[in-house]
Amino acid sequence: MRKLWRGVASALVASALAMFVAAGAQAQGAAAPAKDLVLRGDAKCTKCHDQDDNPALLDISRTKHGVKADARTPTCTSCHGESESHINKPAGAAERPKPDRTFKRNDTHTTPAAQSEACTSCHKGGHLIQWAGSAHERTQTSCSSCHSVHVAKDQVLVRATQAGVCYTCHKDVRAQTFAVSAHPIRQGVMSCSSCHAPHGSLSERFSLVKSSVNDTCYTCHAGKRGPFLWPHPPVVEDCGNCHNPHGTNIAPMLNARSPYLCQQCHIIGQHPNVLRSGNALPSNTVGNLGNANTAYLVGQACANCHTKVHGSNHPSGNAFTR
Amino acid sequence: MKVRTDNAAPARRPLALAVAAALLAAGTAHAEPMFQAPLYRGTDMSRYSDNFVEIGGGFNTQDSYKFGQWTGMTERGGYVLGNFNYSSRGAGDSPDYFWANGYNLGFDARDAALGYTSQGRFSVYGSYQGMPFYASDSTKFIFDGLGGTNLVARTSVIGATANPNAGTNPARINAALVPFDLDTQRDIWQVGGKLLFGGNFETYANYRQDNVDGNRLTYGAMFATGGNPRSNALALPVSETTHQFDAGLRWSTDKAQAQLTYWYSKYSPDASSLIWQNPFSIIAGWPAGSGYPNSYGQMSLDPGNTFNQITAQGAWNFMPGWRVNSSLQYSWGTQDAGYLAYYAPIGFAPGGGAIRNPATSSLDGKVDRWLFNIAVNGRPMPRLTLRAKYVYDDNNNKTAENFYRVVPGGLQQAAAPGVQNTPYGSYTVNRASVEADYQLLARTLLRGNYTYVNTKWVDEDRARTYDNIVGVELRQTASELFTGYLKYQYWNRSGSDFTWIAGAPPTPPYFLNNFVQNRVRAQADLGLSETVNLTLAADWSRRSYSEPSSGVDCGAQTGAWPDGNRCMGLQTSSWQTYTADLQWRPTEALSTFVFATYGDLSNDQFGRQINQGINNQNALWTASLAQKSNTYGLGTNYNVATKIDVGATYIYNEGRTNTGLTWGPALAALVPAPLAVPPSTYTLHSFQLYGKWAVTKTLTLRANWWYQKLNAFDYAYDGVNPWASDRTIFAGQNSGGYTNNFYGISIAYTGF
Repeated sequence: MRKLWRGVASALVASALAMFVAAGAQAQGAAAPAKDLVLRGDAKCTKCHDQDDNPALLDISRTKHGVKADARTPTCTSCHGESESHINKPAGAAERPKPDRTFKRNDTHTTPAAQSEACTSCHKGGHLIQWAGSAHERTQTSCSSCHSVHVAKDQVLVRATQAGVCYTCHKDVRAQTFAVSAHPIRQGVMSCSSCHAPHGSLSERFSLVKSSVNDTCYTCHAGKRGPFLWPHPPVVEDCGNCHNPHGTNIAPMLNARSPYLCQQCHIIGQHPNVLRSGNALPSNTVGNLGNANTAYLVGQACANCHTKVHGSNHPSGNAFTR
Repeated sequence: MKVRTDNAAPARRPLALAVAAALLAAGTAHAEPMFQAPLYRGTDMSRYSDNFVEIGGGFNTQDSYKFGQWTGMTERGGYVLGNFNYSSRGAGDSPDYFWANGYNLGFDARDAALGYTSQGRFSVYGSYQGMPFYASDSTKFIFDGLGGTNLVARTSVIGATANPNAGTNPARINAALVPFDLDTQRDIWQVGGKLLFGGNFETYANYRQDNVDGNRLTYGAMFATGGNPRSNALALPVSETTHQFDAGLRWSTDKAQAQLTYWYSKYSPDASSLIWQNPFSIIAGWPAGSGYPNSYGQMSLDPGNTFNQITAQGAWNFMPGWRVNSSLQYSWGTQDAGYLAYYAPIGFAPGGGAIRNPATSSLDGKVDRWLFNIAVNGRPMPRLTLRAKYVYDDNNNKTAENFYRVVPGGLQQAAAPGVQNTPYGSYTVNRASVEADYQLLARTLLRGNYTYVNTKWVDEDRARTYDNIVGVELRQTASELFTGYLKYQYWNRSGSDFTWIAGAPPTPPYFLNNFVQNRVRAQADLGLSETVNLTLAADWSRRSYSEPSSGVDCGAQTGAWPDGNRCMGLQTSSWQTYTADLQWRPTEALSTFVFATYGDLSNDQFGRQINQGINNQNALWTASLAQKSNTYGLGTNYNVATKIDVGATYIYNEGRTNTGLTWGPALAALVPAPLAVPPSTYTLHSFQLYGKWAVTKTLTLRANWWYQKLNAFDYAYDGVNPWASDRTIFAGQNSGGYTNNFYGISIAYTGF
């Protein structure tokens, strides 16, 4: 009997001790501060948001914004705001309020300007120095309309996938890039940002990477810069006078076909004023042998002789034949 | 609590969840690339891991330069699929990491890059990109030495007459033709880096070198001035290098930012000219001895040039809600390549007396430009945003003007004193614009803007142009149900009198001429349901050129036919595009899209024939050029199971270029009488079926079938034999239709 009581007492003591230890441990666990997981100061967020979150918010650790050793990197609240009501759901609230600032295209909770302010509070200079007043800022395109901050590979920063982001709005350009003559955007060899500066630039039109259309084209086609001994006025003014760089039905990305393109300005003496019609086509002549007009209509038409239409540096090149 | 903070293989969470998470994180704007990256781009491993290496093979079923025009997939046969990406970025506790990647390694359009970053301190990188361009695989030439700068005509071309399509000459030309593919390869090398210091400073520098080698199509004319010109197709060798360097110093604080940048470009071609032997026998009007084999033509290639640009920019938030930014840019470019001689130094004694060489041995060309702008953006009231901007742009072509005793086609030099060069490209622009946004409702914006541009032209056909541009816009933003805009723009250009060419119908260059342009744009994004989004977009514009307000009476030139009181040249230019785009995501695992876009770019122009003994209003003609296109797309992507993605994309694109001609009675009476020009057309079918299967935690298998078919007809090339003209020998190329299948399979490893 004594053994029994001793056993019961021991069990009670042990149980009490275990309960005490457990309670202590529980109390200790409740009191321990939460640890940051991927960003400095993210604990108040990551106590709820974990790897299985949808979307995967913690994947920000795989981005430049997740490099804690860089003192400039933000924490969750740097962008989303302190979000007190989101963290501590108000009593009686049916749903947990959203964070102070959310990022989503067509977001009804946070205006595009407020979304962008979260980014421009740090990203002010460099490429962003012309952001205020730029085409995208004026159209209330927020940074997060194009950029994905929480994924390791931001599609708009990858040449092969960037255009797909731009086509979200620029749908006419998407179709133009399928034209039979176009810059290799759909092949992923070039991207929209090869020519365009989406954050604003010094160019007055099209938000180009350089301060004029021609300077932008010369980044790849530097041979056309000249100055030439015999320059061609529409060329030195704007490559776009004859070309549409997104693509057209007529190679090389021409707005109209020669000879008619040339005859939009050149109705002068000798051959430029002559109507070049289908009678010049070899298919309309006996034996497909053409006639005196054929050379002006087919092949490169005017450029069958005037090959140096971008300008000539030959002392005899005033007619762009040399 | 689960968390992954490094680049190791992902935790074994359900793949569907991972995919959905990635898509949602990306946002609807780019939940999925609208077009699956082409096969050669390889596996999109971003859903699985940052680090991967992929290897595989593919088979292309047909030779076609056009199919692989920009990639190098031009020949039937096997290709290696190779891609990799590696980043050593750790668990976030170290700012230092190394990265490297390479894509399309089995193709001409390959690229690779590597770099090292100490985030917040410095970074360096280097990269390579190959950019092929296959222009034609059906061109033929009548020269030996193709690919070089001295082309020698094949003797069998020569006949008793210089008419390529007379007598036995077609057969002679045909026998002499040498097939020669035209393509170029651009290799782009870049290195650079940046350094952050002092808390607010950053400096960077980049160097880029483009090497372009290959051949392009050109033509060479002999005796092109003075009548009876002849020309022939030539392979133009390309071997050039462009060096570009840019560097900058940036400073940034909360309230103000500034940067000073420099850009340098140097273009260096390896050759200065292309010489070809005149393949034509002598004809009436040509100097004695000028036919084959004694005469040569020489064409200048683009001369080397250098360019420098310094830009200073600054911005200051001078009070809450207000920001001013300004920039000053100075650019200067030079071109001083040595002149070519008037004649190729081979065998031809020109007519017209002694040749005077140019007064200088090179152009000593100089262009400089000053660009200044200042802009203020601010919010004087909570609902009102104002913007104002002023731009001064002064471009000066300072190239010296001289007289040149030009010998345009190698026939006879210009009479003394010769022809004076005109250094076009000088202008001064003053541009001022104001814009106001007013927040009508919480999410509704009303905008108005006005821009005035005063341009002073030097050496152009008119001295001044004045542009007035007015725009209004209504924009709805930040709504899940509807966002969109409606814009209208009115643009009017006027200017000073034109200087007309004596004896020619007044033809104002369209890029200087008066016009009125109306443009309407609208777009609506409709959230039809939680899973369906519809976008409708329209862009319509019409620019009507008009008679200058003074200095000419075009009505006296055109009379009543067909539309009196017009100058010659371009009359109207219009474009319109309409798009409907539907995206449907019924489940997180299934996404689909379908879209259609119609486009039309049209030009209407007037001409009047003033030769062939005709010079009256009955010799008027008109040309209406319309480039129409229809593009349709349909695609889906489905996460069949936790380890499998499949998808398909179909794109149809058709283009049709119509040339509508009308002519007056004087031209109808000509022999041969004018005829209609047939449309040029093409249709493209592109279908891709692809799938990815995560075989194990670290291995992913990808298979892909790509079908593409192009039908094309262009009257300028198809059916035009090299001998089809009586004065030009063509290259005989075709439009390059094809039907290709490309099958590929690859495996990617992500276990590192």
